[in-house]
Order: sequence, then C-alpha cells, then structure tokens
Amino acid sequence: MRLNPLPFIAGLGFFILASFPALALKGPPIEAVTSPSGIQAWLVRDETLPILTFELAWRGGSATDPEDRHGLTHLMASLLNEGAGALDAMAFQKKMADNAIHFGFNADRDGLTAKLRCLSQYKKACFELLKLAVTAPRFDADAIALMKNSHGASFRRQAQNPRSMAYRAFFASVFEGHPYAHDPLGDLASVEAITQSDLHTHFQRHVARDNMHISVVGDIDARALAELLDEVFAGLPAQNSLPKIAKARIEAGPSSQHIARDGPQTTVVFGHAGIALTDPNFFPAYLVNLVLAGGGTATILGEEVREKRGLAYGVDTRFVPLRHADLWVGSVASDNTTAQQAMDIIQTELTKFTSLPSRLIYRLFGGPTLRDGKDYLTGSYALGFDSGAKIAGQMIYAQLHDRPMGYFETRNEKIEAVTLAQALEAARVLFSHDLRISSVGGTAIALPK
Amino acid sequence: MPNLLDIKRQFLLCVVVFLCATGMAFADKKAPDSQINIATARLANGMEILVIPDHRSQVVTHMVWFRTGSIDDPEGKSGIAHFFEHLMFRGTEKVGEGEFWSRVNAMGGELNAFTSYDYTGYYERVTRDKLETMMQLEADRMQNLIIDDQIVAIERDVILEERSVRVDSRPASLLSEKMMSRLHAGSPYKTPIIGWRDEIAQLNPSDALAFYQRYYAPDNAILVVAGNITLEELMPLAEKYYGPLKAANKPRKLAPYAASLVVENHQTPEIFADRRVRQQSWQRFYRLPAYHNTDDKQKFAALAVASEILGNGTTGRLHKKLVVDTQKAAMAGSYDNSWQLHEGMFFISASLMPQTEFDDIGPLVDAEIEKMASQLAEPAELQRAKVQIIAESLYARDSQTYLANAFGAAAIIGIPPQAVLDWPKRIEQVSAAQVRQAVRDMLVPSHSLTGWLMLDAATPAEDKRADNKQAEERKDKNAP
Repeated sequence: MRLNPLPFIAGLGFFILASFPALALKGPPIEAVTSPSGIQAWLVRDETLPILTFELAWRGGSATDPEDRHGLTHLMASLLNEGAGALDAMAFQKKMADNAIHFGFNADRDGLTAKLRCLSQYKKACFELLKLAVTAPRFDADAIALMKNSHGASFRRQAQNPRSMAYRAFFASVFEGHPYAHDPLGDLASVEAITQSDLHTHFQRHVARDNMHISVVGDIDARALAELLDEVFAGLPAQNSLPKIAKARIEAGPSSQHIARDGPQTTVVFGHAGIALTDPNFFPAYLVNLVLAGGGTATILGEEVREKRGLAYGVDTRFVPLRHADLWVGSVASDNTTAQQAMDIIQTELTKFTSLPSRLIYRLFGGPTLRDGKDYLTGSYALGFDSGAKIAGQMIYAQLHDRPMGYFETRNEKIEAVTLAQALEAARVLFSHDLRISSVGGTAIALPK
Repeated sequence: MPNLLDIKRQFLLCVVVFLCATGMAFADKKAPDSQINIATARLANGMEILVIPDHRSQVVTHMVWFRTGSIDDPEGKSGIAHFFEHLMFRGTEKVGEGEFWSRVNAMGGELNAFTSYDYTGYYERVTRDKLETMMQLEADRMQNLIIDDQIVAIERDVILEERSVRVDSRPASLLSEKMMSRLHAGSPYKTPIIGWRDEIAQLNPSDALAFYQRYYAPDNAILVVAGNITLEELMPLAEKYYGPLKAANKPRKLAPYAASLVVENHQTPEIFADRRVRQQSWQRFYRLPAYHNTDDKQKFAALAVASEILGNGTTGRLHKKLVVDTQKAAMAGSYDNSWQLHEGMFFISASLMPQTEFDDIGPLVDAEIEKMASQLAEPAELQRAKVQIIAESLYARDSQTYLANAFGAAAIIGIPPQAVLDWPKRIEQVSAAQVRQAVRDMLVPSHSLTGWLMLDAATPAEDKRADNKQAEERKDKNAP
C-alpha cells in the first residue's frame, strides 16, 4: 500500500506556487541557415567533438503509398543506401563502412526520414554519399529482391510480437478506410507487388525541396553548411507531387477486438481520439496524460495497476502526433487471469476524469498531481538536449510539427502556465471518448458495462 | 540501413534477456582535444569513484553499481538479484513507500536500474544542481531499505508479469533461455537473470533481506558520475553521503571458473518449435574465455575485428554468403561480448527465408568460420573493420549515459578505465594473422551450441504449466 503524503502537500501548493517563474531552459543555440538557392536548415554548431549529425525528413510517408502498394515508402527508404550513381549496393555499403559513416533511411506514416552521422575526418565521403542517395538512387533489381526478403523477415518478426500485433490491429480498426489503417511495413503481398518503376516514380514524387526539413549538429559552420545544402539538394524537384492526404476520422468506440495467442499473458492496446499539438488545450492535456501514465511509475495508472496490485510490469499512455489525425493510445500486458481486471481499473480511472467531483475527491486522498507533472516535465527537459544526436532529433521533430525555432526556450513556460481548471477541462474532453481496444493473448477484453 | 538496424535489433532481442554489457571502447589518441580524462578515487569505506567529464550541458548521470548480479542468486532462489533491484525502489524510513520514484521525478530526474549476470546498477539523470539530492537518496537506500511481506508479494507479481513480457510471450527469448541453460550447464550463466518462473513465485522477504545484507555495502559498490562535474567537485559530496556508510568487509565470492568450455552434446541443436513463431531463425552461441581472466588481451581485440569482418551488417561475410549469394537467409550477422565476469560469448544469427531448411544454414556458417580460421583476411576488410570499431569509440562520446554505462560495466568486473581507453589502440594493432588465430582459438565448435527457432503449427505453445514442468525436469537433472 502506498501512502503518499507528498503529492497531497504539493497538490495544495499548486495554488500557492503557480506564479513562480518557470525553470527556463537555455535552449541550444540554433542558427537558421539558408543556402543561396533558398534551402533551409537548423544548425547547432558544436566543435567539442569531431562528429557531424544530420537528420533529414520529407513529409509524405506511408500514408502516400498507392492503394495496392502498401509498404512502398518503407521499401524505398530501405533501398536509398543500397546503390546510387555509379555505386551498386555493395559498393555503396562498403564506402559507408570504409569511412565509418552511419547512414540510413526510414519511413513512418507521415514521412521519409534519414539519419546521417560521420566523423569530421570522413566528411568528404559522407557528403558524397548523401548527395548520391538523395539525387541518384539506382533501385537495382537484385537490391530490390534482397530488400523484399529483409522486409518479409521484419514483417514476420512483427507478426510474432504480441505488442506489434496489437498495435497493427488497433490502427487497422481505428483508421478503417484511411491510409493510416495500414502499417508502414505494408504486408507480404503488397510489398511483393512493388516494381522498380514504382520505386523510381514514388521517389520522384516524394523527395523534393518543398516538403524537406533538415537539422544539423556538429563540426560545421553556417557558411559551409549553406554551400553543402546547395551542392546536395539544389537539384531536387522544387515541389513534391504526392497525393494529398485527407484528415482521418478516428472511429468512435466502444469496441473490442481480440487475437487469440498462446502464452500466459494478454497484451492490450487501447485508445481513442486525442488532441492536436497546435490546439490551445494541448499542454493541459499533455500534463494530464503525463500524470495519468505518461511518465515513470509515479503515475495514476502505474500506481493503481502496478504498485498497488502487481497486475502488470508497466502501463503507458501517450499522444500519437500524426499529421492528419490526433490519436491517444495506451498499452498494458497482464496475466490472462488478470487482464480484464487491469483494463477495468484503467477504465474506472479514465471515467473519473469525466466527473469533476470524483477528480477533486481523488486529489484530497493523494496520488500524483499536476504540480508533480509540471516539476517533472520542466525539470527533465534539459535531459533531452545532452547530446548532439538528441539535439538533432529535437530539431527535426520541432520542424515536422510546425514548431518555431524559439519553441525550446518557451516550452517550459507553456507548461507552467497550465491551470488546474484547464487541465481538468482538457481531461474531461479527452476521456469523454469511449475506448477502442485491441487485445492479443488468452483473454478477450470485455467492454465496460 | 534498415537491414543493418534490423540485424542489430535482432541481436539486441536475442541478448536482451541476459542484459549483456557491451564490449565497446572509447578513445582515440589521434583525436584532437578530445581525450577523455577519467578521474578515479576511493572512499575510506572502500567505495570506488569514477568521474567522466562531459561539460557540454548541465546534465549529470549518477550511477551506483554493485558487485552482485544473477550469478550470486543462491541455488533454488533464481531471480533474487533482479527481484531485489525492484525492491530498492520501494522505500526507507526517510523516503516513504513508493516515493523514491516520485521524488526523483519531481526534481526533473529520469531514473531506472538494471540487473545483469555480473552486476546490478541504479541511475538517475538530473541537472547538476539536483545531484546532491540524488546522492542523498541513493546512499539512504543502500542500507536503510524497508522490506515487508506485502511489498514483496506485490513486487513478485510485477516481476512475473515482467517475465511474461520479456520471455514467456516471446518464442525467441524462450529459445535463448534454453540455449543458455545448456550452453552454460557448468557455469552460473545457465540460469536466466530474471529467474525461473516457479522459483520467482517462491521468493520471500527473508531471501530479500539476506541478499541485501550480503551485497549492498559501499565496499561492494562503484559510484560513477558522468557529465558536468569534476572529481574535485564531487568528492566533498561523496564523502558527505556515501562516506558514513559502513563497509561490510565481505568481498563477493565467485563460483570457480569452469574448468573447460566444452558443451555437452554440442552437435545436437536446441530446437524450440512453437506455433507462435512466424520468422524462423538459426542461432549459434559460443563460450569464450573471460577477458579479465586471460593474459593475452590482444586476442580479444582480434576477435572483435573478426566479428566485424564476419558479421557486421551488409559488408560482413555472413551477409554476403547467406543473404546475397545463396539467399538462404533474409538477414545474418554476428556479435561478440567478451567483457563478462565468468566467460565471454560470441553470437551468430540468421533469419531464414521461408523455404530454407535449418540444415542448410549450419554448413554455410561453418564454412565461413573455417575460412576465417585458415586464411588471412583481405587488407581492405581488415582496415574497414578497424576503422568502424575505432569510430564507434568516438561516436560514443556524444552520449554521457553511454560512457557511464561502458566505463561502469567494465570497472565493476575489474577492467580499469585505462583498459577501456586503450581499446582503440589495441584494435589498431590487430594483424590479419591475429584475427585468424583468434578465430581458431576462440570459435571452437565444441564450445558452442546451435539453436533453431522453428514454426510448428501442430505444437501448442508452452504455457505456464509447461514452463514449470520444464523447471521441475531441470531440477531433477541437477539433483545430486
């Protein structure tokens, strides 16, 4: 039993301390770099280590895969370091390895992304490979065949992982009829059908200047970067020609679907509509989610499901910041004999948010509070900026989510400014949706009565 | 890159149940202005201190490592070291039940802990101004933990769920567990870190208390702090919080090293057939001598280079043979982990194409190893392998957490920071003849075991009953 006087005191303190200044983060010193031809990048120059880190992204992603070619963007991504220009797949990979260059592409529902790291001493080869990959991919038949093999293995590996299985089923159900219903990997048949010409065509449509974002950290100055941007990217099409993706409607709950699978445990993914990053209520909702189950174990669901009852190793919830949908999801895995109980507890806690009196009563008896959430979020923000790799990641994420360059400096103030009333209202709206549930394992989860 | 990543991810998956320390290393004498200056000290009570500077941000990573891990689990009490790691988050007289986590979170800290075969570690990542509080909290729970019946009962259930997530729901983990138990029949690594299910279910407060009193003491611990701090700044705080703790003067007693690395019935593969399997895979685990217990350290550097040539990503020989030339596998690679206390290990793995027979893989892999053992590597391959390993030591410097983990994991099994710093120099000196010799000496067929993860639509998966039955069978075998 966890008796926890601290959050109670801190909870009262919320009203008193709310006007204290937020812990300001001295954000990374970002320079906006624009090349002579107008290509932009965010740069943090850091000469303490002889390392260069690039993150690149092109909006689009698997949502733009043609209807009978699911997995096309993902397969294309896997082939972009498998041969370009005069280099076939093996020659390209050898040049990467000979110069200790880390370079790979990936695709999610909303974009094609690339990470490139190299040591300063190898930057010439590094930039050559970057240019080749984004301007002259070969998509050779033998490389395509091998990548399809590799894709098949990834697909099958997902199909034996209960969490991946549950997520795949959940997305298919929540986004039925929208491209988001499909996993970025596609499926075995749709990937098998992809041709060399599909890949070339999709590449031409996807990799352009107007949907491109770039972040760079490391041993390079703004002038050298500007020159490099033109050298590498100036030849790309000015505009992408991907299909426009419609806003996705999140299918309303309640619903529950189950995939039977052997083993002691049932893995559950649950969720419903979320909130847009740009919504004025985003930060209140974000704080609510953090206190609910978005942090470590000092959360409401962590407390109820794990700490008090030992029903699960963990329970987590989060917002999925998709470009064309606002989704909130969570997951838990519990023994087949207790999975229903765990989900009932989660349902009960969510429902409490929709009833103001029960929320206030809850607060009087302790438990994690808004103040705890604010302290954690603002205090831990600096931890996300302690390496070049993390800073590059933060900068590309911000660009992909339409955040201004100054966002890092003001983010903690936005969190501090959230009031209890805003948080409770955001929670009421968020959790007024019924859950959609996908489970994998021995127990089909029943909907609440 | 996706296949490179996938191969690495696959190896991570296959080793995740063991929580291996990686044999990475970090420094390059040639790198300008970037020598890492590791500072070390020792408190009067025997607690060792290691400081890794990284002044690029205001963040520090504070870790306490204990010389205890699952190899110290008493017979029949498997999982106690890991179980105890969970209990450390529960509470003391000063820090109420369940408050440790929320107190660290409230200071903007991230925290967690890990248990491996050889060691247990706890860490908090905070901004520099919060470090003192972290030291206060960590010192407090080193000797003042409250362990009661109810806490133990709940945490035991949590750990059974953890075991279900990590092992019992994952056919690949179940195969690894079975392979480890046969491969290491004569060493403490035969038992999974998380413990056997039936034994976890029996763990009780007195087991936990006995374990705590035996191993949790400053003279059995190393403090590692990485980040924006110097040893001079750290020492007064270390003296203040860790200094007063009483030494136990009970050094850890290690089980004797195995007299031989030979694996019984090594020619018979361990087969795990299960209807949950979708991607069939072929695994080979080798036992290696332990780095710190072997005089010829250069041999391990040579093996790391061999592993790179044989199985690192798409330029490795295994990839070329299995994935490109014969198309028997969708992915193939190798990985070595020499820096463990009792023995090192070498892993080879291949994801089978759907039409491939398991019997097709072994001969192809064996032929590649035989080639490594009989012929000198090409100069270009050798150079490529070295460049990559040495570069990793530079890339690693971008992450203070990575450095703290690497130097901590080495120090806790007796490998001093200088040996870690000298690793790239050793790699630089590796010759093609050394690579060939290392493969001959260390990748010995009779020191290995092969495993097949097989789809068998007819065989129901093991459930908990079957798991317990396995455990009983195992006990019978071990009975004197």
